[in-house]
Amino acid sequence: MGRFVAPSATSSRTFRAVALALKLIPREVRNDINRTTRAVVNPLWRDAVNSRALTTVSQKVLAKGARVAPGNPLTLIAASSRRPLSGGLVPDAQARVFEFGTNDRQKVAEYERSGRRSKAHKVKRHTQRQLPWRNDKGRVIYQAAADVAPRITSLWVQIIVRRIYEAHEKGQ
Amino acid sequence: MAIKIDVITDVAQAVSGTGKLADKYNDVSDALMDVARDGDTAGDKIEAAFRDGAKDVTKTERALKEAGREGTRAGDKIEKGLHEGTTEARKMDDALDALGKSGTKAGRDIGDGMDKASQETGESFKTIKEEARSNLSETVSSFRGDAEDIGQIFQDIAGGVVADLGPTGLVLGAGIAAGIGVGIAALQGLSEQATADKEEIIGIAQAIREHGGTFAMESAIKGMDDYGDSIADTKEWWEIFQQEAYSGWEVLRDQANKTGLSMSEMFSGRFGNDTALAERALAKVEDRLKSYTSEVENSRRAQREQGERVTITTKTMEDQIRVTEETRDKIKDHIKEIRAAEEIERARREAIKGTTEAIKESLDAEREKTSGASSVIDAQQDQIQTQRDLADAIKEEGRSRDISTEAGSKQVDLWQQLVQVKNDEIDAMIQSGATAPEVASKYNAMYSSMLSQAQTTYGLSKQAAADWLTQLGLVPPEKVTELRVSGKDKAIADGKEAAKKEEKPVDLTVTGADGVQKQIASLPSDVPVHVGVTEQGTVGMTQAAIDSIHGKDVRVGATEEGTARMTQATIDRIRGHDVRVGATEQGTARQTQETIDRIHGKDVDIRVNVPNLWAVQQALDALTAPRSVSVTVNEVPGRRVDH
Repeated sequence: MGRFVAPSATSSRTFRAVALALKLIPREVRNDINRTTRAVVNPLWRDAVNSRALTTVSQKVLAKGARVAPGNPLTLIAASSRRPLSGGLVPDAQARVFEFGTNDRQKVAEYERSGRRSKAHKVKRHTQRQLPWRNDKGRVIYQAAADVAPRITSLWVQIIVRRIYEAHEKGQ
Repeated sequence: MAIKIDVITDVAQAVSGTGKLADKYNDVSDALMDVARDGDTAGDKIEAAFRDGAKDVTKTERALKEAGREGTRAGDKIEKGLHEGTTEARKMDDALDALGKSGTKAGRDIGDGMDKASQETGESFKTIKEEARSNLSETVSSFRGDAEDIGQIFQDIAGGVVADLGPTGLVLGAGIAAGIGVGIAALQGLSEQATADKEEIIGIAQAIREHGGTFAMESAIKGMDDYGDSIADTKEWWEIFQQEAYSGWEVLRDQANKTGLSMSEMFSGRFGNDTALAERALAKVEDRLKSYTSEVENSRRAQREQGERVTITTKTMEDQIRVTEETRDKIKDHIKEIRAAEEIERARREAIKGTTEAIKESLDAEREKTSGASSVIDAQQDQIQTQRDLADAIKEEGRSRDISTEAGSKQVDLWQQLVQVKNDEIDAMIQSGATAPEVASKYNAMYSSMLSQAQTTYGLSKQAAADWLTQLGLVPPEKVTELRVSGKDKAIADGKEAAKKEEKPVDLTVTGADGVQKQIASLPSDVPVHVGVTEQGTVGMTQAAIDSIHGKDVRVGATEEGTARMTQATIDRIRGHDVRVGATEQGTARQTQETIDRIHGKDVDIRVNVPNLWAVQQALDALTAPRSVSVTVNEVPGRRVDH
């Protein structure tokens, strides 16, 4: 499994230039860059996440609300849905545990419960069975990011460069 | 919190570490120039950035281990919650949230990463280089795809942009450099394309040879199709780079200089899709050619008269003429190509008429139209996200607008983003064809909500908040004097104009004769006003009311609520105005007739409610002529009851 690597803006002149350029250019050009970025990168990112979300749970929890937020830097977003699933799970709040899993799926808990017709009694239940095994690299979203981030980053840099150039050309 | 991944990190650090703002322009300009100039090595550089960015193994690993432990602890918390028999979902959420937060540390190797990570990601490093290259052509073609959209947006917003860009170093440096870079990459893309073309042609040749030199249609068609696909997108603006050995940008710039065309004219003449623009460029080039030729004639004459001194000038001019002629020919060729492409497109449309392909195209066209509305939604999503981020930032770090502090700087950044996405939303609304009043009211609402948010968040006065928003780039609504008027608005505006011309009566509801008179006085004299006086008091009062309304028609409605005599008395005493009497038959037909008989000199409207046709006939028979009858039948559904 690949690991997602986010390069530091301080590590390359290119990235630093892009970060600075976004700060310095006029709002119109920046908006235009953002608009183009959104139009071009959104489908890439959605496809990447969807192609990694193979289980129903992944599709419902992690792939929901996959989109990009153009800005400085460009941010890839997923699992942003705040609409609770039928069981009450809110993807936005609880997605991370599905992305990174748990260390102890076997964990059994004993707790007391009481029903309307029964006295309080103890029951033993697996409490983390619904979660995937721990995976530091992430299972769906971060994997998708590892797949496409280089492509997206490169595309983003080039959109910025090209848009600035076009602003120049238009004004010529 | 949704899962969010920044594609690059340490942006704040990179931005803040460069000294004064003014000094940064050169920096950006140089660096962007590098990106573009090294078109062929840009991939390597981006790869290196990813690789160099990964240094500190231990730090990252520690973070990951910690995250793992956190995960377990969070699991324990869930369990504890169950132990205590709690049903509070909130606690569960907290526990999951804690786990989630630790999860942010996992999954990515932040900036200063590691060798190990680079081994693991070796594969993606390899692809980075390739991506960086192929994306250059992708970038260009993606603009092509929605060229109309983006072109339009650009025309709208880019007017005068360059003048505002500040130091021209940035603009010129980045712009020209970008051109070169994109050009070089496109050249690379094309050589790949050329190779692909060659392969396809070899494939066709192979197919022909395999069939003993006879051109079997069915086997060749496949080859032709593939070839067609492979050359389908070669009619692109970077075609030039295939033909010229050196940078296409330089060629273009040179041609532009020598022909006296602007760069954009040059582009539309040689690579655009618009015949009209290309023809305009052609006309300009031909003009220029004429003037060059006559200049050369003049200078030749001068040369003859004055000797060697003007030779150089003539040579330069001849060079200009040569380039201009070449350019003219190329533009002519290009116009032919556009025409041919248009013809092919027309033939293709004809051929696919009525097929699913046509359906697909119209679907695509429709989708294209709705993309504006979809960007409104995108912008709204961004807004929501930014608002959440802002709320989170304020919750974590307290309110601050002081940009010298990290918290303040972050919050101001978020505000700037917020302003930006709000502006985006307005732009998207306009793009999707919202009417000017819709846009204006949205803008006003947006502005006042931002204003009050700024006021309440940072305890500012209204004026201070407004000033601050202006600094952030939000134009106060009163400054928005010009909103784009779409076709719909214009129609509405025209409609209003028409309504005025037709002089439609104005309905007013005013109580009291004084009020009515005041209203009438406030209206332009050419607007007709119908005043309806309802007689609710005595006849005297009604007459007084009528008398006190000057200069306008007054219609009096006398409702017979008492006896016929009273009604007649009312009518008799209202002078100089039409009185319409409504007689409601509440008793028998005879009574109604009596009522009518006793009202003299006026039309009487009778409304009769009767249960069946026979009763209607009876009612009508009982009334004396003349009369006009209109019957409205309301059928009441029911069911037959058998006794």
